[in-house]
Amino acid sequence: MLNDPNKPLYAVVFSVANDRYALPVADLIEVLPLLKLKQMPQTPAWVAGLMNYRGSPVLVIDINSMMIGKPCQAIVSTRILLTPVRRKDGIEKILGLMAESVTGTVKILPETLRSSEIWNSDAPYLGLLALHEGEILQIIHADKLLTEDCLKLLELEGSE
Amino acid sequence: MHKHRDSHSADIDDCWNRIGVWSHTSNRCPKLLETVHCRNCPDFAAAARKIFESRSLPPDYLDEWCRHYAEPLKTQRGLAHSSTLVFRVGNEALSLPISLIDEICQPEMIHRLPHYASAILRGIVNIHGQLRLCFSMAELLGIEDSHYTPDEKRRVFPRMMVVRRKESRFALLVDEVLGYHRHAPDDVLPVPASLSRSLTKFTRGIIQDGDKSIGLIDEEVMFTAMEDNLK
Repeated sequence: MLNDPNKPLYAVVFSVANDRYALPVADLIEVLPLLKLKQMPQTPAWVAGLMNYRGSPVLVIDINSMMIGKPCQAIVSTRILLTPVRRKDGIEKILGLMAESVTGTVKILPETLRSSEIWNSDAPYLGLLALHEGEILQIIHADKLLTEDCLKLLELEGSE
Repeated sequence: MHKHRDSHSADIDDCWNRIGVWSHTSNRCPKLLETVHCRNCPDFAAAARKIFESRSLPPDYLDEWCRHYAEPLKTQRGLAHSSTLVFRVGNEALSLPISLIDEICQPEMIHRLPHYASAILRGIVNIHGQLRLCFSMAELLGIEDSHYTPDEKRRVFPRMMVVRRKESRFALLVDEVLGYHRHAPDDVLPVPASLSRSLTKFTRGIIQDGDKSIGLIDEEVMFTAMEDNLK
């Protein structure tokens, strides 16, 4: 989240295809290595599966699959970013985002942020662009990643 | 850019091997003016990242991490940790809660108190202009001057620790300060019966640090014993 527009933003960077995206560390709980997931039958392709996170099930979505329709590769730099999400009934859940080339963090200076000037209502999670050291990083709003379909999955999963 | 992930070294230009820092004349890499050495060069870092990023998963990787994160986090282990200062008296490694320690300093000159001739209460010391009563930890705890054989490679410095409880501050002489140690409540083991009787009285429990056993001193008993010496 861009809490204070005058402060530098720290973010974890990952790749989707040839582009780099940044997820602010304020939206992160933990970065996990890739691990074995329980497959969820009859769910959209971008649902990577369920993991057991310290004794509770956590839904992991494949961000590559969701954004470009191609799943993340099974290599060591593919990791799972855990982010808090709030269900409609107000209950806090954890969502796992599987992403490629998660290899570090960046410090984004506020003056490098630009609007993309494109608004895609299908991808509300795409935020500002950061012109960072010669490349373009796009900020990801984790709380807006959940499309209606994904929210539905979470609602069901939590309705014990 | 990421097309050749599987062919590791094929698409990496190892300019640091080809050009490197050796040539001082014609072939010198212009980037060296800024980076001085290849290891500081962003190209070198990028190549390293490329290799690591494309590493395939070792066998059992997925299962192992799956098992690791399935384990529940030991509740509030981190919060309930206590820090203690570990020191040596004779052959015993002992510790006190770090919150009681005001200061550790070199042993000051001890002025004996007339008519208070006691092996336990050694006298008064001047620490930063404040007079403190000074006790011998070994005598207080009844640790006999055992044959401690120091490691010859290691220098040993006797220390004076200023401990505090409420308003009272005392100086304690110890043979050596070993450092600090953190432990969880369930790391504390009961006092073994083999411990000497006087030391058992002062010990709350034992913590194991590798092959070393550290006795946790019961500070209440210790302070009471010191105050009893003043009566």
